[in-house]
Amino acid sequence: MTRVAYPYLRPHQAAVEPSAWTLVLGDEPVVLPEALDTWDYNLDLRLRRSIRVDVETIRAQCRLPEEAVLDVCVVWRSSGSGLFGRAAAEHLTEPGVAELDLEVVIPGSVVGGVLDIDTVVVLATPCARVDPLAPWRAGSMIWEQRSSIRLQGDASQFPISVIDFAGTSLPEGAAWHLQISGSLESAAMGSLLLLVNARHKQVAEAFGNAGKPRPVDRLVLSAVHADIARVMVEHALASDEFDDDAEYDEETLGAMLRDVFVRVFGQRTVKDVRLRAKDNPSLVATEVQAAVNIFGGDR
Amino acid sequence: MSVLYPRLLRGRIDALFEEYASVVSPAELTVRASVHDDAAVYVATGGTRVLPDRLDDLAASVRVLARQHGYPYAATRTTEFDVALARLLHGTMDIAPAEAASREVWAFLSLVLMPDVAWWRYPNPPGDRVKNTDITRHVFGRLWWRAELVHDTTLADPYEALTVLGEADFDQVYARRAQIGASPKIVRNLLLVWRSLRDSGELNGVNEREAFRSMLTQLRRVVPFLSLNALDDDALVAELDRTARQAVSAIRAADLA
Repeated sequence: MTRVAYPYLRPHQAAVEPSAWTLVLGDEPVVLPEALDTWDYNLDLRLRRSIRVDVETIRAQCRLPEEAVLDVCVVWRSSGSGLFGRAAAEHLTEPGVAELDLEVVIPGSVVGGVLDIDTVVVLATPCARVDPLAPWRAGSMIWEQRSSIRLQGDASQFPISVIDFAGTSLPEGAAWHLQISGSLESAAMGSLLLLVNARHKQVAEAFGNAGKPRPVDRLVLSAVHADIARVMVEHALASDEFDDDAEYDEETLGAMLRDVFVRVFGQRTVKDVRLRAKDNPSLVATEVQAAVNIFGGDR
Repeated sequence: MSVLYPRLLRGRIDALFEEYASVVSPAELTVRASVHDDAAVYVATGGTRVLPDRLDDLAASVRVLARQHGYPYAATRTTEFDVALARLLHGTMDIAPAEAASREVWAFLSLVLMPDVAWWRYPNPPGDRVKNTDITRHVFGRLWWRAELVHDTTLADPYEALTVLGEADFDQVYARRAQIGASPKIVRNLLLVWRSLRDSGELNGVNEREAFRSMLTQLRRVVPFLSLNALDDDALVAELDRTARQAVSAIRAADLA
């Protein structure tokens, strides 16, 4: 937070002792990470922390009148949406020391980018101005502490959509489908879309757990990853415009296919790999498996 | 569930804007309207992409509304159109605010999906009405954000506050969003307080726009050490009411001096 010259007395920082925030993903809480690359707008953020507030010390050090009402609140601000909101508010009604467990849910639909989560102790209502140095306005920040989490990656994530294949022209029994459309000059992120069949429980669950994959999820995700690479290589080789001399602008489909090609085949030429694929397509597919280190196998 | 909308790449935005510059009638752009553009991309955040049929439906609904206000001929009752369009966009798009903060999403709507409507509403538009330069000026984006910041699902009409402020005053709120304007709770209550003062005659005889801006200035001064977002509605309304009355009094005093 920006350093502010508060026009009223504030207590020692130690008057409030919060624990670290934990993020609840699935059933298991983890310490709030700096980033959550697997997040999307459909994932609400459930956070927990406990907090110990020495109300008596705050009242004394801020010279608050007896009737002053204090709240401990959690407010958030999202850089992606630009929105602010309040996620929790608890009255500190008891004198002495209050120990609270805070649990908040911040809707994924209203945030994005970097999410700042502020825990604040505030005056909940205005109070009498019994001391010129005492806070009296509602909302006066007595104490605050900020935590932050980055919710979106660096735009290198793959676009994914989990849908029911039954409502599409895709085979209902399939688990995923990589859709590639547009010319090689088209923007890559608008040309690629991984569709995951919501009816395919194992695969849909693996993507749902991608932030904290179980061993079985890792295997599924690795298989999907290898298959995506294979489909992209095949798409590139099937395109007459994809050749050794072609130049593609950054972030175009052509540039992304070229990147995958180089990662899989290194310095080999397109012409050479295309000839190999014609003679022995299954071997090229197997080369892709090896290049992406499918299932994390040792090499 | 939020729906992802395509974002138009910047080079394409400039090219289309330049291409449409010679258009003399919005009807000429009807044939250019499309649900697809090769330079329209989706962010790589998992979610459901908007379906072409849904884009078609959105454009059709907007055109029905536009026809009620003169389209394809000269626009009539534009303030009323804007309010109705704000309701329509916000009520039907299911776009997440972080997506709606992307200027390129709105550029897709104004340059690809509904260029005819955009050019009808703002003939020979300056770039900021249709391009990706300023969301507070964009023909569609500014209206979605007005609706987002004032809508209140607890009311019989969630969008009733849309008519409290004119575009210029709302721009003032939005321009200060980093301090005060990007909390729907604060904006909604700010509008409630202002309407209450207006209805009770407290604003009679003062320059309302000047008083409103003065209130925003006073709020900006206190927000570094007040957490308005931490307050419940009653306490927030009381604080905003006090600030608004102070601003009005200051304006009256200045007028008398």
